[in-house]
Amino acid sequence: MAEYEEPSAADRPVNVADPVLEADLERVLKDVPRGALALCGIAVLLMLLAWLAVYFGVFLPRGPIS
Amino acid sequence: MNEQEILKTELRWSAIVAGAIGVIVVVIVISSAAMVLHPPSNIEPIDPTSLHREGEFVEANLGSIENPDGSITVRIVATQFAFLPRCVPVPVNRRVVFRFATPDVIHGLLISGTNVNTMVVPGYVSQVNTVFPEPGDRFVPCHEYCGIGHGGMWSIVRVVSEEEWQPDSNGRMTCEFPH
Ligand SMILES: [Cu+2]
Repeated sequence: MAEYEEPSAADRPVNVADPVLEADLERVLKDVPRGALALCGIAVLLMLLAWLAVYFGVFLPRGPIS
Repeated sequence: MNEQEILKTELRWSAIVAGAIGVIVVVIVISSAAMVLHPPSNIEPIDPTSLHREGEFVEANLGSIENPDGSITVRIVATQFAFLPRCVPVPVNRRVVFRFATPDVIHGLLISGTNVNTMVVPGYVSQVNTVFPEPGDRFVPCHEYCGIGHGGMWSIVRVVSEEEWQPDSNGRMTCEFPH
């Protein structure tokens, strides 16, 4: 990549609409995974509970088929 | 947050997802083994071009019939665009064997409020065993798009009490009975 004068358009500040300081980015990214994990965790937990509710509350009481 | 930490987070999430799937699989395996549940499977070929002329799916043999062992066999032809017969009576708390065949295209059906749900494929007999614990009418729609009249293709399974189940001398009963 070094042989190119402009490996990325983002190398020129004029092309970057919203320049972000590395330090700021670092600080924000520190907390992002925790929030994402909490959100995904709640979503998956609710889905698992809904599946169990349908399986034990609807599917099994309807009786077996074969 | 460096690459290593991102990878660690992803792996941790993978473990959580695998755990959720594992819970579902374990529940299905244990309950299936404990309650001897297994999905209907019946590979039984039939000639779709002649099923209305010969064999068990001729018109006179359709509908509900009581077997010598007390179980009920119900034969239904799924055709564009009706189930024949349009209503079948069955008694509560008896083993019911449904047998379906089609002379034309792929149909599908479910019996509402139960776990009965099957495709009806030309060339094969679909068979489902079940027991109805409650009396009442169960709506049976065609759930596989089969043509322009698909939306009007439905039938009824009428679950009747043991007293109302009054088959004729041949063991047959139709839905035309006094309430
Ligand atoms: Cu149909």
